[in-house]
Order: sequence, then C-alpha cells, then structure tokens
Amino acid sequence: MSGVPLFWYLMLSFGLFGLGLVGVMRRRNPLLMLLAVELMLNSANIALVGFARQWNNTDGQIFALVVMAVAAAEVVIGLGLVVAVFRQRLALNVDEMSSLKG
Amino acid sequence: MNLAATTPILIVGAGATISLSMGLLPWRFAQRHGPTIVALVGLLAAAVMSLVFWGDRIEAFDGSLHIDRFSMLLNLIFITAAIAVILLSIREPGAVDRRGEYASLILFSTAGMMLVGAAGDLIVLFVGIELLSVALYVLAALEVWRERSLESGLKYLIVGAVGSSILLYGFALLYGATGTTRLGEIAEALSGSTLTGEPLVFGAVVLIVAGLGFKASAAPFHMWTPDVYEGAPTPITAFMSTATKAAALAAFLRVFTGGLVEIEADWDLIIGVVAAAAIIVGNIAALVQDNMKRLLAYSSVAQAGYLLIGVAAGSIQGAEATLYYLLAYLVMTLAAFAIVIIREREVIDGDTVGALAGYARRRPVHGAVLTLAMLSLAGFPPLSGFLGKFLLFGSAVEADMIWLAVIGAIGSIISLGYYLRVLGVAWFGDRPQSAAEQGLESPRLAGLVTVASGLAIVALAVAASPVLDACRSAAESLLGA
Amino acid sequence: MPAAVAGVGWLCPMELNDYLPILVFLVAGGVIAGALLTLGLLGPRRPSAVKETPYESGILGATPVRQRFSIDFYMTAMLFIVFDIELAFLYPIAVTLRDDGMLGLIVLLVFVFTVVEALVYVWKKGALEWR
Repeated sequence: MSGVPLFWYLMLSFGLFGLGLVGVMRRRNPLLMLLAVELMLNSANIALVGFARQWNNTDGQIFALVVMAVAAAEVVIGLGLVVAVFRQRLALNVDEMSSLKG
Repeated sequence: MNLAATTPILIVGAGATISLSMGLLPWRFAQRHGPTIVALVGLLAAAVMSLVFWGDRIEAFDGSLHIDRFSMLLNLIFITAAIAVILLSIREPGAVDRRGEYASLILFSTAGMMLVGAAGDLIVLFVGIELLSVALYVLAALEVWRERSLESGLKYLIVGAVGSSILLYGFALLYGATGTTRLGEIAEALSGSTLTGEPLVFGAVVLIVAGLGFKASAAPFHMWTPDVYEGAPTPITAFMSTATKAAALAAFLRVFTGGLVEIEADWDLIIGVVAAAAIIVGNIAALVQDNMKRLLAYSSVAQAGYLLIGVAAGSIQGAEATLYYLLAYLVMTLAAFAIVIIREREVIDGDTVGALAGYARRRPVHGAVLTLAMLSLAGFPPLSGFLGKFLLFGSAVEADMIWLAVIGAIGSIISLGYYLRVLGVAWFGDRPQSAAEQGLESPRLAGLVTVASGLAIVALAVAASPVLDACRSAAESLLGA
Repeated sequence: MPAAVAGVGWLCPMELNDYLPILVFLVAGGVIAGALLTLGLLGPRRPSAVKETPYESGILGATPVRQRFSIDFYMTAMLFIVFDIELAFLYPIAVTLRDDGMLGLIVLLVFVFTVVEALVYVWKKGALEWR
C-alpha cells in the first residue's frame, strides 16, 4: 500500500502539538490544561508512529505504547489532584489560586 | 547480559512496593514504622550494591540500561538525598498521615532517577523522568488539608507535564532523524553530520533542552520553581532541589555529552545561553526574597545554571566538573533545608529569613553548618562549592566559552548579596519578643542530618582528590569506557 | 482497481485513491444532511410553548436534566483508565513471549504481580467501595 507520505503525519502532529501548547498557555482551567497536555503527548505519538513506519522498525511504536501508559498515569494524577482540590472546595481556576503569586 | 548489575534499581523498586503494602498491614508497629524501616534498609542495600558493581560498563536488557560508573555515582547521590529526606520527614504531618505512601513514593521517585542515570535508550530515559516526576507531583500535594500544598502539586503537575511533552517531542524528532532510540546508535548515526544541515536534529536539540530545562528548573523555564518549592512540604522541597536536579543533569549528560557528542560544536551555544540565563535570573531574583524556601528556590535556579556550564562545555572535563558540583550541591542544599525544617517546627513563620534571626548564636553547631553551607553555595574558597565552580568555569574556558565563565563569576558575586544576608540575620539578628513560638518537637534525626551534611561539605573539600578521581572515571564511562 | 472507481480517479491525487470510499461516504453524508436542513428551511414554522418543552418519549421529563455525579464515579473511572492501559502491555508481550523464553515469562510475571499489588492496595484502601 502506497499510503500517506510521512510529511502529512508530521503536519498533523505539528498542528496538534501547537494546538496543545496554545491551549495549555491560554486556558486557565486545570482540567482543560490537562486535556491540552494530553493533546501534546499524543501529537508526539503520531510523530513517533509516522517515523517508525518511515524507518521500518518498531522502536517508535513501542515508544508510543509506553507514552500512552505514562500519559494515563499523568492524567489520573491530575484528575486525582483536581478531585482533592474540589473536596477542599477551592476555586477550580488557576487564576483564582492566588495564595502563591506566580 | 548481566541482570545482577541492575540490582540497585530492582531493590529500590521492590522496596517501594513493599513499603506501600506495609502501610496496609493490620499490626500497629508494622503500620507505623514498617514503611520507613523498609525504605531505609532498601536504600542502604541499593547503595551497597552500587558500590559492589562500581566498574566497567555492563549493558543490561539489550543495551537499554547502561550500568556504568556514571550511573553508580548518580545512584549514590540519589540514595543519599532519599535517605536524608526520609530522616528529615519523620515527624512531618504529611508523612505521619500516610506513612506507607510517603516512603513508597520517595522510593519510586528514586527508582525513576536511577533509571535516568542508567539510561542507554530514549524510552528508558523518558520512563525514568516520568516515574520520578509523577511520584513527586503526589508528594508535593500530600498535605491535602493545606491549600498551598495542593496548589503546589497541581501547578507542578501541569508545568511538569508540559515539560515532559516538549521533551518527548524532542525525542520523537531525534528518533525520526536517526531511526533508533538507542543513545549509542544515535551517536553513530549522527557522526559526520552537522546541526544546521539537519532541521530534524536541530528541532530535537532545541526541544530536548527546553524539556530538560523545565525539569532542572533552568531559566527561562523556571517560573514554576518558587511557587512549587514554597507550597510543597519542606523535606519534599529538599528532595526536589537536590535529587531531581541531579536526575535532570544526568539526563542532560546522557543525551548530550553521551549521545549527541558528535555534533557538540552545534549545541554547546544553546545550552550555554540557557546556563547564562539561569545564573543571571536566579541570582538576581533571589536577592529580594524574604522566604527561605523561595530564596533557596531561586538559588537552585542559579545553581542549575552553574551545573549546565559543565554540559555546555561538552567535554569529559565538563562532565567531571558537573558531577563533582552535583555532590557538593547535594550536601550544601541538604544542610540549608535541614535547618529550615528544624526552624519550621519551632516557630510558626519558620520558613522566613526572619525566623533565623539570632538562631546561630543560640545553636552554634547548627549556625556553623549554616555558615558552611551558605559560604560553600556562594563559592568561597577553600570549600567544595568553590572547587566545583572553579572546575566548571575551567571547563568553559577550555571549551572556548570564556564569556560563560565570566557570567558565572559575576553571578557568584551577586549571590554573595543574599547568602551573606542570611548569615548576617542568623548570627547578628534579633528576633522580636512578640514572635510566636510553635514549640513542636523537631524531627529527632534532623540534627543528625544537619551535622552530617556540614561534615560532608568539609570532607568533599578535604578529600577532593579521590572524589575527583571517581567523578572523572564516571564521566569517562559516559562515552562507553 | 475496478473500472468504475478508476473513472473518478481524477478527483484526487493518485496516492489518495485508497481513501476514495471515505470521500464517497462524506459526499453521501453531506447530501443527506443538506437535504434535511433545506427541508427544514423550506417548510412552514409555527413554534408554540408546548413544542419547545423538553420531553422524553412523548412525556415530560421526570428527573432534572443536569445530574451531578458522585465523586466515587470519578474514582472508579480513574482507576479504570490506569488498569486498562497497564493491561494493554500484555498484547506486545504476548506476541513475542515464545521467542523471549524464560526471561520473558519472568518479566511478565513481575509485571502482572505489580499490577495485582496495585489492585490489592486500591482494594484495601476502600477505593472500590460504592457509597
């Protein structure tokens, strides 16, 4: 199968990475920031899998699999912290978290 | 392949799972003391095994782990930091509340750092960095009843995750450029190429520097550092600023001095600029801090800059200087944080500079250790901090980066402003009568850690030559010796 | 490639020919959706209060529309994510287990043991209790 050339995988991956980066910088809700980070991690996964096909070896695919598990762990810790914050009835908004000035 | 050589990592990993289950046992003694004892025994055993396997490189798991002198020296740094932190946090409320989790998370984090130190593969490096970070996110937020602790954990998580994603993208591009994730094969694939000719490698280098910069809290990726350091439980702050920094620097050395050495001429400037920025920003921002934890946070940004000079030099000599300075930095920072922890238990505003007023006069031994730590951090001869900086600046000059050495020297002079201020307050300051005492008992072994760190600062300077020999052979093992 | 499909090959570059069915699918979907939308615009519009009320199967809704989930729901969901992804690792191990021999089996057992220990921890901590 001829398939889609590597260039398009990379374009998609760059685009998603940029979206995630913009999202994490512009959004102020921790949940949405976590989502944006997830987008960045998975854009890297797309690049890894695309490169793996180009080089015809499996290193990139294994890397992508590992990254998925790591991303899951990270997002679960994030959700856990958000739930803990919620239980403390804190403001769910990074801007309102002002006891530590950035 | 020799699986036996991976025992230090395996012991720490097993210790983490065992101490987690100890907290669940029905017996009171096991619940209260089991996790701490298991953690300490495991860490000591891992340290002994690291010394046993001190020798030529052993490649385990098909070359994805490089068990060499470099990884063993770093193991000792991580283990020392972990033991000190466990001793310092014996009466810490977060640790008392969840003993099993506390000890286990510190061990998991240490295991992650050891993986970073021994990484021969980008995948292992990434997993190690994530393991150490994920455990630290939880540890920073462990005092869930304290708003600042939660906030610090959440901020650390989000910034850390962004750093990890940027780093991962850099790794992906590096894999794309070379077709392998093994550091040794990457070095082979890149021999003879230049950064400017390879847009993928250039992007990879920039992203990896940024991602690891987040982890090492080097400027301009340091914004999170003071907030997270201030909010986290103080022993965890000590752990973050010593062990995590060592792990991040280990990753820098593994990737750049070990893997990308062939194109050194192209990346030394990028790292040099980051190092210079960290030195300038960290030292200037630290001048105006009134909170000890924030002051030490900015100081650690500056120290990350000094440490990166050795990476920017891109030579064995530079790696050796970085390793020696990591050792010195470990004991100086532990001493400073131990005193902050003791003071925090005694008075309510214990983490401010003002809380130290007159403290050195009342407790001369602790005062002497604080003096040693601050003077060594500032780089006073003949202390270990001075020797480390001298070697770092020397490696920069050797690598034709005199400007970097000059910036480092200027930064050291600026840093006198805040290190000496702390000492002035501690020796000559007077605490107002109205100041509230808290009168909690300080952790029983915190005094021990303080004195031991003070002795280690002196010992590293007195016994410099055997330590430097060890650092040199560790640095040489980066290139496969 | 069937002649009928090759006949419209000029619609897209050669290497995208494999994706022609997706294009057909999109066009067909667009035509149907467009027809529904145009009919809605063309037909008579006589809105009234009764028509605007939300309903379930012809009768008025009995429960509030926005329900709040118990925090236990999130706990279970988070635990599910972690264990789900961890077990995904068994697939690549399964593919190479025969070639890896004894070492592969030991590694697999260590991995499974760790996951089980995590489960025991979660269980003992009471995170699986539904309050």
